[in-house]
Amino acid sequence: MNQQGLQPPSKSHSLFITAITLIAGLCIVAGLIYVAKQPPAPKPVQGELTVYCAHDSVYSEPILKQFEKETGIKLNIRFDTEATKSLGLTESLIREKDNPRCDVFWNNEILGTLDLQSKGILEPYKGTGYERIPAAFKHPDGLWTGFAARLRVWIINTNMITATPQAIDVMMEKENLDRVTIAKPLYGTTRTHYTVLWQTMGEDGLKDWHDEMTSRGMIIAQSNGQTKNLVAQANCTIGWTDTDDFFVAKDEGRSVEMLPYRLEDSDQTICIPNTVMMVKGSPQPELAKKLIDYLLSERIEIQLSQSTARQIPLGPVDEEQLSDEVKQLKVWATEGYPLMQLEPARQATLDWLKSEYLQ
Amino acid sequence: MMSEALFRAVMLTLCRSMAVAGLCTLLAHLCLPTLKQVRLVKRFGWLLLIPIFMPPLVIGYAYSNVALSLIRHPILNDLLYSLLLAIRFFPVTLLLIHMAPPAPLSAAAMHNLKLARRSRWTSFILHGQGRVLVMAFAVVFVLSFTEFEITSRMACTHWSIWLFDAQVGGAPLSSTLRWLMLPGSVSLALLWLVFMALPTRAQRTSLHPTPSSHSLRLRLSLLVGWWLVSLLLCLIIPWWWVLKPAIGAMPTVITKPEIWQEIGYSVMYAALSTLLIGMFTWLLGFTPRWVRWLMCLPGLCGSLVVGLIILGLFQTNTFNAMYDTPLPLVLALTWIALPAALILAPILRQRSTGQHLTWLTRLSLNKQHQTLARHLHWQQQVRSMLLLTGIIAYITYHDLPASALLSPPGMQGAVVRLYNLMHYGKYETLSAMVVLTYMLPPLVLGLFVMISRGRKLPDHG
Repeated sequence: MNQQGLQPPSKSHSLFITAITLIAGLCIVAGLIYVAKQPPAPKPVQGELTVYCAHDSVYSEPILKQFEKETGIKLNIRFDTEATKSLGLTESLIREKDNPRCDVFWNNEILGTLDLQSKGILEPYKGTGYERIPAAFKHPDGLWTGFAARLRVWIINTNMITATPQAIDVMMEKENLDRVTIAKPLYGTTRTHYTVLWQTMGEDGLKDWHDEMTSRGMIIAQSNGQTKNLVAQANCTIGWTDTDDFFVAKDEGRSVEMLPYRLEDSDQTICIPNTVMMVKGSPQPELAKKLIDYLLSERIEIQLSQSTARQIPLGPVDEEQLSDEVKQLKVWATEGYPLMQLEPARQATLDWLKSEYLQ
Repeated sequence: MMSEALFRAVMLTLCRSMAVAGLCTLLAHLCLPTLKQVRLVKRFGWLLLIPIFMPPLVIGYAYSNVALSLIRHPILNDLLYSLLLAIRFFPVTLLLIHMAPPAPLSAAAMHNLKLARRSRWTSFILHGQGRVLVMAFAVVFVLSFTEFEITSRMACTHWSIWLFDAQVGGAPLSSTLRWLMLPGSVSLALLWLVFMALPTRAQRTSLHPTPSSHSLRLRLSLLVGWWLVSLLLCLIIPWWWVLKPAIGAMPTVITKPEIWQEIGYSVMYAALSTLLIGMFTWLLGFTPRWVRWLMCLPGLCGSLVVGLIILGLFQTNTFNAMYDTPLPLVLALTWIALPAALILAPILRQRSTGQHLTWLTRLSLNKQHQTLARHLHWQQQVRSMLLLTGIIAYITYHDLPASALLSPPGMQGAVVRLYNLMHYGKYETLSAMVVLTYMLPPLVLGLFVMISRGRKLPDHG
């Protein structure tokens, strides 16, 4: 049977189509280059701000929407997600240094902020919000300002031990630590935790401590959320996590309690604030200032303290509006280690952690 | 210098993927005769495909707590993960073997070779049905080797997780590409195998050996047993876990415009990339095999890698003007799903004598014959095209890593939001959002299936 209709195209036909495909591809590339050679993209429409937000969207989005509603300023928000914690917004801002797109960065920790500060990516701004935050939580030149903090805490399964410092000491003295857990310290607040330890214990002290803990079987979880789950589900007895993760477990009705984590020698806590900053070259500096002042206001700090994360207000607030839990956290926060001293240890700790986990 | 941790992760992923692909291929090979000879299976065979359409994120989410309880037993955790992968990819294997063009040597010819005492295995692999099995094995291997969503929730050792961790503190694109050399080479080798093993045209009539009725019953039991386990582990348990709490929150969630907006963005990205893929597939269909092979390379390294490369590209001065647009994400999704399109298109678009006859009938001057030909054409070609479109749209809609990296500010897709919210554990609103986001694609696919099945031949009696 003649099957001419089923035959593949002839060789010359194939070559012709290949050539067309290549030409089309070249046209697309040429088009892209042409567009790229055009003058920079126009600045956003008046009244629009680009916001990068590393704080969990569950808590931050309602506040940002509220800002939009109250001011009429439209926000284009890029959220950080757990999926991209190592590819986060801090890295994006560094890569975008020469072509800044972002106006305001709401970071949920401080190490990334210190990194941006050291790379000259931030624009100083001292507004009304800046004034109400204590000096320990803001950059002296106004490059960034801290607000609404969380603490590093022990999370304890109360079905397994009582939530006392003594019980924790007994647990930590055991030869086998496979009921103790911490998140992988490569990212997030656990990295801040390790950087504080580097600064206070010294390089060798931290490395020895880490080696000892892992050799005794301490469980390394993927994240603080997983650390919380391991303890809440009784797979582990105690662990280090953040207050917001602890409260998730508490609100789910799990048998957990917390104690603040304190540094061995100084008895200081680790209090990690959110930080907000304006990006150098921000396309909308005036609108950016409005948002920064808004986020640093007493009202927003109270609102964040009333969220399920129970974030700790750093500036003066009407105490009557705070729950007893937050009042207690506020006391512990005042005993915090000064995180602004971490700059020298920041990169060194990261380099060591990368060699530890990636080599 | 190659990092020891990366080498270890690649080797472990490789062994796991070999095991998963081997199991899937063996099972599919054993069960295939039932698909062709048992009337009930022939009629309801599409039900076997259900596990493919279970979103990997939901599977990973559902089993993340189980993985936590196995944290002191990493081997058991790895076995569970491998089983879930095998369940997900078994229907792909079955589909590939079922729909692949027949091997050059029929079963009868193979039997003759056996009688002639010729090297049976070489012939089986090079010219017989083994060739199709090798192709299916290689496809499933690559799918398993580049998987990210489930492993990221179940915390198994995987080279893509290593790569993800290595980005902390910022890694230049050149380093990422260097790290990719080993896993990329593995994918490349397997892809080469796919294209070499895939028969291009129906060269011979395929005669499958007919197993005895006893053997057929055993095979049927195996297929049904596997399918029931698949349904339990990949459908009933995860969805029960998600659906139950979702019911109460659904009325609130469906009235939230931002959720529909995010689903709309996901649909838009999926539609645009599917369109681009369609164009590429059509054009590349006329190009030499090595061009198609080359075009598949980036996608076979996985969504995370494609996302990182496109991100790096659009952060350079040359392409920075388009950084905040949907273009980077659409391009990334196109690269990610292109290999699936290029592999599935020739399999689904079988050229047969029947098609030739349809083509001849279309040339007829008789209007009735022309109508008949149009309907036959629909059955033979458009239906497979619709199925392919549905599969590609499904892949692009569900992508997570590239979408998380490349969504423009204010235009984040629904899946990224879900992954973010899953960090806080299970709650009613999230479950309702998961149902809404993930029920939409199966509904659309269902519509495709209904359309493709609904066109009946006109009555010419």
